[in-house]
Amino acid sequence: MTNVALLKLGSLFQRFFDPATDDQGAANDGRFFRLALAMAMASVAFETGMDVIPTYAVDRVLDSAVLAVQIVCIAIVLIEKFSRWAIAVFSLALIVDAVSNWSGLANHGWLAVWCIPMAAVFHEWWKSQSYSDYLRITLGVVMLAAAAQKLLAGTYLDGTYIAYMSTFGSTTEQMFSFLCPRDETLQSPCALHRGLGIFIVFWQVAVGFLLIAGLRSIIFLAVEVSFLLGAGLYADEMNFQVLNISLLCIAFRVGMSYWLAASCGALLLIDTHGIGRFVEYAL
Amino acid sequence: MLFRIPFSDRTEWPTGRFILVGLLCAHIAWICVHLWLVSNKQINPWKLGGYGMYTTADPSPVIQVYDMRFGGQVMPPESIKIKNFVENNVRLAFRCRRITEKSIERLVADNPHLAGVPLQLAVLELRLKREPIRPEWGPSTILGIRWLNRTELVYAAKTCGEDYRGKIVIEDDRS
Repeated sequence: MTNVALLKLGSLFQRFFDPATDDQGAANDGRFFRLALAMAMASVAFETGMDVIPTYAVDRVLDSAVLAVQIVCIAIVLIEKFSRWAIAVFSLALIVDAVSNWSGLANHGWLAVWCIPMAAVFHEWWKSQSYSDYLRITLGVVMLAAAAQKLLAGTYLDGTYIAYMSTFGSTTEQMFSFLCPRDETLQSPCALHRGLGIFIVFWQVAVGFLLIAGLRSIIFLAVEVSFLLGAGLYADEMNFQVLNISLLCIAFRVGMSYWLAASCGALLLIDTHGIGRFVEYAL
Repeated sequence: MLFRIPFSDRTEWPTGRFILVGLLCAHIAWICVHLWLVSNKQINPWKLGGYGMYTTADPSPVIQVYDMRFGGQVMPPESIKIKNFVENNVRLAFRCRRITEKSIERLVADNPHLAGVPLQLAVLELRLKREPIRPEWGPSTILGIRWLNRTELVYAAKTCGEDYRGKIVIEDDRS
């Protein structure tokens, strides 16, 4: 029994370093890649929709038009023949929105601007290894940038930010409050909060370098997707994570399965209300 | 292979790869600029790409206007239109950008009921303080407006510790 368990553990460890194979069948099919990009585009449209729909203001005509264009393009991008055009039109709407509101644009929008329009450069972008490489390196660079900002702020290595969020954050942001007594950690962050802060920075740096180096491992992808979902749960912001997951599926040349797409769609819908509200309702 | 050298597929359109590499370089350059701006406290780290999100308290800048006729009573936000006032600094992402005379003119034009009213305006942001760890509101900009007459005002402001002042003549549409 022990030997079997050890063998399974060893196999799992080995699989972490097994390369993700270039499945030519999947790449040639392209459906799952187009589905991934459609989900990425949907996360952007949801962000736009959450700004526009609640207000229905007359002066949001441009934003409403942008949203309508985005929705149409999401549907068309799934069709192989028109996929590139859908991306081009979507990108035009995205860039118009970004330029008109550039200093107020959320980070979600900026990542989309850096990642989605570039697919239109290639005729059959789902087959393009260069586009996948570009996404992988962009996401790796963004990870390193986020880690650099955390190091610059100095609030993670000493646990200050984790302690702060555990006390003053929203419902989900307080999930680590159980680790340390409140009054103690506010005076001087406890060891567990410091450790968590250090781990987060270390993880981001490691993932950033591994993405840039081009580690091709399905298990690495699965672990990173899990981490993103955890981060999304913590921050109660799922649409940004859906964008990241969708782009990673293209970057790792595996595409997005139907069940993952359905899960991401559900997360986008939940995000319109926020996970915190569900948690509060349940409690 | 376990690792893949990026952009090594030689069958692909070279111009496409050139564009992607160029964009990557531009993105990395912007990240460096963002890091520099944040280190100098020039911008809100949660904006302009958001690479600094969840590193400190979300500044969530707000503008409060005080009516100095009544001892600095805070004016209700719904009584003042400030959209055009912050047009050159949407969401106040640039925390140390000076308030321009044009912005002040727009504020008066959009709020004619404020003509002649001595005002103080503060841009407040949330900051993360230590010992004990706590959030605290503090001003990044304070602007004082005093009227010489119905159409002329003088202002004095302080933004990120830098003082500046001036005089504005408001165009009277009725003349």
